[in-house]
Amino acid sequence: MGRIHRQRHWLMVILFSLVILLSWQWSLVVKMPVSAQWDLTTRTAEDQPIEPIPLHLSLNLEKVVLGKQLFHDPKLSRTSTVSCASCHNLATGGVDRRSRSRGVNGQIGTVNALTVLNSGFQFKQFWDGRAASLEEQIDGPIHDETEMGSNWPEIIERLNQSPDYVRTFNQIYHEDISADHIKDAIATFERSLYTPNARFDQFLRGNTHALTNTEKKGYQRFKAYGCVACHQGMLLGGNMYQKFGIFGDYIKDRGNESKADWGRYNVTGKAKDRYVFKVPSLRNVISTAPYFHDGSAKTLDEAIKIMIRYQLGREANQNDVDLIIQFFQTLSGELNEVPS
Amino acid sequence: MSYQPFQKILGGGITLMLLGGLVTQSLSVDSQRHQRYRTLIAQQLITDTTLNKSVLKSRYALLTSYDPLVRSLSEQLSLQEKVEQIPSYIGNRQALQRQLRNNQNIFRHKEELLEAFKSNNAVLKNSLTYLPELVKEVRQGGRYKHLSQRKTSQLQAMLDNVLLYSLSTDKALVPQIENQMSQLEKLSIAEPDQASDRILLAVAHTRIILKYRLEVDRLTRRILELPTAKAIGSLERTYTKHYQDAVQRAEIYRLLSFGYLLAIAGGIAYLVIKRQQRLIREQQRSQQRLSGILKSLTDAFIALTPQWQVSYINPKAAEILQHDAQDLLNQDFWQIFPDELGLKHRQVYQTALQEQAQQSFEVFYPPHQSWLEVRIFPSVDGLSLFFQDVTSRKQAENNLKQVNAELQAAKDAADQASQVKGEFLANMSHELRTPMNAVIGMTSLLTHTSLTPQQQDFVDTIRSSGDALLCLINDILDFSKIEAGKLDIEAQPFNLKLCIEDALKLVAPRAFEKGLELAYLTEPEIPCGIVGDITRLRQVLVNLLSNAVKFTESGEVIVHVKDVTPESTIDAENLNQDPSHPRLLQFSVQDTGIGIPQDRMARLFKSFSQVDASTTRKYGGTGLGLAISQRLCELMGGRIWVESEVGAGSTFSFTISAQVAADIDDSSHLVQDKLQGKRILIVDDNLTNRKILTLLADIWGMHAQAASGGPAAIETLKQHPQFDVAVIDMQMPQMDGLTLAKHIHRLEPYQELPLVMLSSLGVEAIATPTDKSYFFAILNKPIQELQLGEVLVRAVTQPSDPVERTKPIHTPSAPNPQPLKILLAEDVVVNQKVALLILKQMGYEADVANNGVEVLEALHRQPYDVVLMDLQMPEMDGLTAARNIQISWPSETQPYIIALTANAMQGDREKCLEAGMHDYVSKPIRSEELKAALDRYTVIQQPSIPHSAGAKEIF
Repeated sequence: MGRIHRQRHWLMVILFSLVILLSWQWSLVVKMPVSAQWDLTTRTAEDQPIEPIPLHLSLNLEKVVLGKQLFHDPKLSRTSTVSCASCHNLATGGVDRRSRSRGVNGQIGTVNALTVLNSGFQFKQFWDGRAASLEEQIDGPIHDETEMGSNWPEIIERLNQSPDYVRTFNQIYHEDISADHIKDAIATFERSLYTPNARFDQFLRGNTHALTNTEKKGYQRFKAYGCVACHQGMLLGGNMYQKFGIFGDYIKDRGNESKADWGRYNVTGKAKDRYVFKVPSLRNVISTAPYFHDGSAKTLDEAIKIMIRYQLGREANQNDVDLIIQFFQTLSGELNEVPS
Repeated sequence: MSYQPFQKILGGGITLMLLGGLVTQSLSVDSQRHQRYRTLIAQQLITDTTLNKSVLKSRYALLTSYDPLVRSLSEQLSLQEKVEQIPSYIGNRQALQRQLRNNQNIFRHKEELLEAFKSNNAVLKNSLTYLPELVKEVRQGGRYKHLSQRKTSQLQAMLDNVLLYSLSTDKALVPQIENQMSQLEKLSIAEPDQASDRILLAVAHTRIILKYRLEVDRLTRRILELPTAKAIGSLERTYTKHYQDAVQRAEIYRLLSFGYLLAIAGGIAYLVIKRQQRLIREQQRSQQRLSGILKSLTDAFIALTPQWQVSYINPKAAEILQHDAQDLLNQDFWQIFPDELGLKHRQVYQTALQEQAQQSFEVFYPPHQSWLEVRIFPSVDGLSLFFQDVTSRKQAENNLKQVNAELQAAKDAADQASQVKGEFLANMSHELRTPMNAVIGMTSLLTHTSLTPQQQDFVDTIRSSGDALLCLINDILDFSKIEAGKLDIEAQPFNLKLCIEDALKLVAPRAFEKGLELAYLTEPEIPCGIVGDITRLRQVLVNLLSNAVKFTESGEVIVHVKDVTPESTIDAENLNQDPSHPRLLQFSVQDTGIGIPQDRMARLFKSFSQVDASTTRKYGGTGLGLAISQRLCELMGGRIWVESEVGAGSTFSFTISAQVAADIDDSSHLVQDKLQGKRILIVDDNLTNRKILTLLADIWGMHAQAASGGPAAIETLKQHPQFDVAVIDMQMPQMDGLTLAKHIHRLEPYQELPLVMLSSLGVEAIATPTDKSYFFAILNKPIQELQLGEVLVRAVTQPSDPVERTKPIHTPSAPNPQPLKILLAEDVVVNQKVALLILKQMGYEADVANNGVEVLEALHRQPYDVVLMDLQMPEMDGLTAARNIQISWPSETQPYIIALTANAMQGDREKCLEAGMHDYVSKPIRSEELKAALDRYTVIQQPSIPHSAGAKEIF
């Protein structure tokens, strides 16, 4: 019996000391500092008003493919006739070439469709900047009665009836189809619609031969007239708001003022924001006629002249306008579509 | 502390949970998270600074693209979103949330200002960029060359001022410029010419420059003055403070959990120590107990190690060895122990140790003059030895052996004596009976010679004395046989009621001579067939009945039979289903005799005792009957006892154990079918008889009414005119049976009523056929159930057949004109009596032989016409005797042998025929069968029917 007692005692002592050791270790662990990780990226683009579009963006390819399918799927509209691509057709520069888009049941919208190309780089979405992200933007046309006139529950139900969609959503998100996932997929696809490597971008990157002399002159004119004050940045616009009609009341001169003409005022309710719109991007501008929020300028020539007059308070020289148009042609980049 | 497992588990669980909770709390402050959060806040600060930098750059035209500004702002907002996710370890979130909300408001405000800044700055920039060109244009002419001198100079002056203003932002210039602007406007409006639009345009630019310059500066200032840095700083401070609090709390928890852990460890240690102590205490106690036991042993106890060293020695052992216990410890066993106990038996000790097997041996120890038993047990650490003083036991053993030897000798002597007795018995039975048979035989011979009445009287006396003596001898022999244990009880199925009726018939003549009523009553649940010894049962019944009749002067003797099987041994439901279960049947013979005084009852069953000496003289008898009955009852699994009241009567009761015999048919259901619903009138002055008859009528499903006498019977008949049959006792005080019968047949509805007369045997008041014609049938008492049943069936189904009526059934027949010489070979006394009675009824007298040898001797003395040969007899059985007769006697003088067989099996009949027998009657003997057999003999005697053919037919 003495034997057993001794064994037990030793066991207890060992256990006890183990416990002490462990807890001491653990208390140490808690006090050890963890080095901070700083992750700040700073961009220095102080001298160039315009930057080239990045050549590569890393995006989740599965989501892009799914997003493309959804983008082109008219099931997202009430009458299953209108898809995102109806108004933002990739073949026609990401727009529908109409002044105002046509929604379900042939209803006409209120504003000109902005291009989906490079829309991922825009600082806000919509002419009045009411959506801060691509995901937020999707809610607009989905619910708008004159555009797709649908709602998420209906869309989800429709999508659930397709085993393909169910399978794909499950695969990517490991969850059932939901509005957030749909938006995430479509937005990821839209981000993939960037058009790098325009000739102007090549020029910016240092290839002085990318532009012809006339085009260079056109660029110079663009800067000289002061267009570059608002149409600056990577997208030549798309990063600020501005009043439409500084030297003169464009809306009044055009006539038929409507709510759509009030722009930012519809969002902020402040008088100073009336007629204030997002400055649109000039990238791929030659493909995105008609121009302005009302699509009132059918040609670039028209648009440029209006801009020079109402925004810049200058007199347009036809030669200069032509040069600028030449310059605009260098702004069209390459769209790498993913296979569907 | 309670040691119930449930409480332990519960306690342990709670402890662990608590510990877990404390530990979790102490670990709640995730330092990584803290670092990340701090980084976010720092990043916010940096981003804010970058933003402000960009704003300034834009303001001073050092930044041509707003992209950096937009990027910084969106970063700031995303940082804000992340910062709003407060880490979980922060306790009081409200302060932090408030700060965060505040910060968010500031950032939103900043955003607004920034947007306004961007737009305004762009416009301003545009106009400012155009200004030098405009100045150049105006100076050089170009589009402005069509202007008047005055306008041009004014325009130039204004533009110069604006230029100056744009470079210096000298506020003093502003009113001047404004003045110039309004002047130009007036001029343009007053003198609209080609260039006036241009002038107005220039004025517009100027206005913009003035207005937007201020605006942009104001916005810039406001943007830079926004207390974003302060806000971020105070967020950081608030967060840090709360973080510190959280850390402190976590510290406390850590300390607590640490302390708790120590406490648990301490608790466990405490428990373990207590347990150890308890174990030690228990161990000590058991040690003490053990040593206490060992000390108090009367045996000497020694514990040895496997190395033969003494590890323990108790006081008694020390005493034996005559040393101190202390001295003997750890010594070598072989050395300290005397050789007689140790070395001499070394082998045994070693076997015990090696094979781990118990050993023991006894040895005589001279020093103490005592016998010791040494027991060696293997134990966990060696051997345990017990030395026990067994001197007294030894002595006892020796005594026992001696006694056993003596007993054995005595037993042998007794056995021998018994054997001698048995042989004596065997010899005696033969020796005693032989002369008796001779006496009886001779007297019967004498009877058949011509004798004077006086001589006949003498011969009758000799005959009856001889019969009585034979009876006595048989009793004594029977008793001796029982005492010697040579009596076997048979186990054969038989009809219980018939057995009882036979017994009654044997005592009936004597009973009716004395005017006593004789009947039996069975409870309904009594089985009709049981397995047992019919002979012995009949013997006991006859003994009791004859005693009852002997000691009763008037009244009745009734036999009651009931089932007294104890409840616990039978399953009430399976009462009738389980025939293998023996039943306990009780027979009571109740009489209205002289009774027995209390103080004499004990001696009743002792052999050779009568109630008192006077009884022997008055009533005769050997005094052995009850003793024999007692032993027979015990052999049949029961007991016998008596209840009595002097002057009132006695009831002798006995029980036997018997299984129900399944295949004895009592035919009562046949009777029952026919008698169901019939109405019967019972007339008897004796209450018991009325009871018995009513009971029987009930069993047969008849509606019975009883009357105690003639007049009552007539009244009943008058009131109920639907009776089918009436049973009338002959011997009645007021009106005898015959008179009653005559009265009944005078009644209107009952002229044809069948009447059954019950008469006591021997009382033949009905002598003339006319008298007899009043009755459908005349039956003898005691009432035989089956007989009565059959008669009643015939009575109710053929009531008016005059032929039948005139021929009453079962009257005692007239004595046969031919006096046959009959020899009865039967060893069992009671069977002898029955057979003799039947023969007497038929008018024959027979001689008796007890076995085959006696038969031959009897035949040697005189020829007999018929021999009724029982097959089972001692000395020489029936078959052997028959064969002997066949061999030794010439065929003319050979008697007609009728076999009395218990079982008529196929083989038996052949054997009988082979042995030379001519007929058989099955036992128990029925008068009809015997008569039929004798009739057959009579027929065979007639020469017209061949002998052999008849024999074959019978068999």
